[in-house]
Amino acid sequence: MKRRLLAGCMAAAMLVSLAGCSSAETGKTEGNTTGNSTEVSSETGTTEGKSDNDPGGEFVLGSPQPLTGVNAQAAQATLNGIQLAVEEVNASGGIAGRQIKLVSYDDQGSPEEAVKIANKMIEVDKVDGVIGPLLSTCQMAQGTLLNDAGIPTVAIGLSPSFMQNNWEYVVRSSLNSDYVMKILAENMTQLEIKSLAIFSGQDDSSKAASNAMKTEAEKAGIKVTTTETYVDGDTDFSGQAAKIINTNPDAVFVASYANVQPIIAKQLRQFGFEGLCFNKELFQADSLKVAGEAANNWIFAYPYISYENIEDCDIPNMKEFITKYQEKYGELPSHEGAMRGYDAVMVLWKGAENSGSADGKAILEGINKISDFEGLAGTFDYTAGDGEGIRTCNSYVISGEKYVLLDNWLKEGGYEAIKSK
Amino acid sequence: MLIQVLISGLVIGCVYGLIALGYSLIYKASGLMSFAQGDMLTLGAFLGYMFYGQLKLPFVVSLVCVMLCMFGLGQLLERGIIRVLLKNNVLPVYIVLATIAISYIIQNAAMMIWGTQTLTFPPIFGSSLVELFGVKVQPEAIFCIIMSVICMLFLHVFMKYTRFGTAMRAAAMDPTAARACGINTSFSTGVTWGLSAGVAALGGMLLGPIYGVFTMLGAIIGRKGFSSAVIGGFGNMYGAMLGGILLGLIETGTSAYVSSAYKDMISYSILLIFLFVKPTGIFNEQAITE
Repeated sequence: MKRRLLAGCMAAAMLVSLAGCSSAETGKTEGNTTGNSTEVSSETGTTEGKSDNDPGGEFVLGSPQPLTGVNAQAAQATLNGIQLAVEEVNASGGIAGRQIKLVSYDDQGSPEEAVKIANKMIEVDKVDGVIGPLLSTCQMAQGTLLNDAGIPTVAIGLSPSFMQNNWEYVVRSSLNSDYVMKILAENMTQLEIKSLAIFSGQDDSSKAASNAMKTEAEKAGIKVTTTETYVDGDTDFSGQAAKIINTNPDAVFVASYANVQPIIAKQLRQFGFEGLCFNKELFQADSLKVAGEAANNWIFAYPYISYENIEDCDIPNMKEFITKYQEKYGELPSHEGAMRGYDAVMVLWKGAENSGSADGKAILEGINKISDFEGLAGTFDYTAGDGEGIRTCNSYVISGEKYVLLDNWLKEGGYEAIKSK
Repeated sequence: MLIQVLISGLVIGCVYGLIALGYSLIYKASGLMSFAQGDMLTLGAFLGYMFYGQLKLPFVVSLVCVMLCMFGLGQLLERGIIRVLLKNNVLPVYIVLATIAISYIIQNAAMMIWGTQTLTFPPIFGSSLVELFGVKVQPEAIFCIIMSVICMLFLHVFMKYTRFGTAMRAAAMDPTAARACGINTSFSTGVTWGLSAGVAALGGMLLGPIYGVFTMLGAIIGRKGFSSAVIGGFGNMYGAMLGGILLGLIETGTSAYVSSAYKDMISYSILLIFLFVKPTGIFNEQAITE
C-alpha cells in the first residue's frame, strides 16, 4: 500500500513537472490547450469559420516559440508582446475586419519540432499568418513549408541566413544581425580598434554573426587575431579566454546567447582582459546583474534595451508599450523578445491595412508598401523589397553597470578614461 | 599563459571530479549508475542561491542546509524510485533510464520554480581577485579545488576505513551475504544516494558564484563527470578526482593551444580510448569487472 502511495506521489510529481512546461503559457492568457498548441481567443470575442471575403471570420495567427528549455523565459516574454499587440489590433477592428485568434506552439528550440509545427499550422490549424520563432534555426527549418503554403510570415530571428532564401512570403521585423555587424565595425573604426579576437557559439545565429563580423572587420582594416568557438551548454571558457588574450587583441567580439553572456564576460575580465568587448546583440539585463563590473565597457548595437523602471525610458512609444506590458503582466519585459513580438504583429496588421485585405498575398504586398511605420525598433521601411524592414539602430556601452548611448559616453570622455588606464 | 591554463584546468577538473565522485560512490556502494548527478549539481546551486542569496544565511549555514536537503532528496529518490524498481527485479538498464527521467524532471521543476534566466549567486569571498603564481583568479576557484580534495579524502576514508563504508561496499558486492551478516543493505544504499546528491550539491554551491545559476548549469558538467569517472576508474574515489582533473586539463589545454572547435571531440575520444584499451581506468578499478 505504502509503495503504491509513493509511486502515485512520484507519478503526480512527474505530471506536475511536465505540466509546468505549459503553465506559464496559459497562466496569463485565456484559451484552451490542444496538443502542443495553445489557442488564445481575442478578448473581444471569437467566431467560427473564415473566408477572405468574410469580414466577420477569424484571422488565425500562429506563433511557434521555444516555450520550454533554456529560452523559455525569452519565449514567454515574446508571446506576451505578441498577445498585447493582438489585443490592440482586435480592439481597433482586427486584420481587415477579422478578429485575430492567436495560436501558440512550443517548438522547444528544436528545428525538428519546428517542422512538425509548421505542418500542423498549415494542415490542421490552417493559420492565416505566422509570427516566427525567436530562434533563427527554427525559422530556417520551417520557412520553406510556410512559404510554399503562401502563409504571410513575419520573422523575428536575427540571423541573416534564413532571409537569404528569398522566400516571397517571409519578411522580418527584427534587425538582421549583418546590419548590426556593419554598425559595430563602424563603432570599432571610430574607437580606433586595430585588432580584434572573435569568440562565438556554434549555433546558426552566432556563427552567422561571427562570419559577418570577420568580413566587416577585415573590410574596415581591422586584423582578426583569432576566432574561437564554444559548444552550447559549456560553462568553462577559460581555454578560449587564455588563447584570445594571448593574441593580444585591442578588442573582443562575442557572438553568444544571453545565458552565457555573463560567464564569458566574467572569465575574460578574470583572465585580465581590460579592453573593449563587443556583443552581437543586447547584453540582457539579467546577464548584466550576474556579470556585475565585468559587463562594463561592453558595447552592442541593438534597437531595444531592457528597462528596470518605466521612468528610465525616454522613447514615447516604447514607454507606452512597457507601461501597458506592466499593467497586463505585472512586470516589465524580462526579454526584448516582447518588443520583437509586438512589432511583428504590428507589421502584419499594417500590411493588411495597406492592402485592405486579409489574403496572404495581399498582406505581403501591403507590407512591401510600408515606408514610414514607427514601431518600437524604429522606422520600418520595406520598400527595398528584400523583406527587411529595419536597417539601423543605436549603439550602447555598459558603463557603471548601466546602458549608456555610445555617442554620449564618448562625448563624456568615457573612452578617454579607459585609454588613460 | 601556461599557468593560467593549468589553474583553469584544475578548477573545472575538480568540479568534474566532484560529480565523478558521486557516480563512483553510487557504483561502488550499490553497483548502480545514476545519470542525474549533473542536475543534482544544478539543484544544489539553486538551493544555495535560495539560502545564501535570498534568505541571506551565512555561507557555511547555507552549505549545510543545501547538503542536508540534497541528502534527503537523494535518499527519497532511492527509496521512492530506485528501490521500488529493484524490488520488481527490473534490468539494470531500467535503473539508468529512471535516473535519466529524474534528470529531466529536476530540470523542468527548476525551470518552473526559478525560471530560465541566469541568477546571481553572491560571491563567497567578495568580488576582488587573488593572485596565484602571478595569475589572477576568483577566490571561489581556489576554494573549489580545496573542497574537492577534502571531499575525495573524506569519501575514500569513509568507504575504506569505516564500518559503515565497509558495510556499504559489502552490500554492493553481495546483498544477500551482506544481509546474512546483519547489514541493513537498504539503509546503506539510501545513504549512498544521499551522499552522492550532497556531493553534487556541493559542486553546485561552489560553481554558483563563478558561473551564476541557471537550469542547464549541470547538464554538460554531468556528462563530463561521467567521463572523468570512467577515465579514473569507475568506483574509485582517487580515480574520479584524477580523471576529472585530467579531463579538465585536456579540455582547457586543447582550447588554448589547439582549437576550441576540437575540445569536445578530443575529450570524448579519450573516453573512447579508455573504454577500449583500459576500461578499468587509470586506477585499475576492479569494481567495473566484478
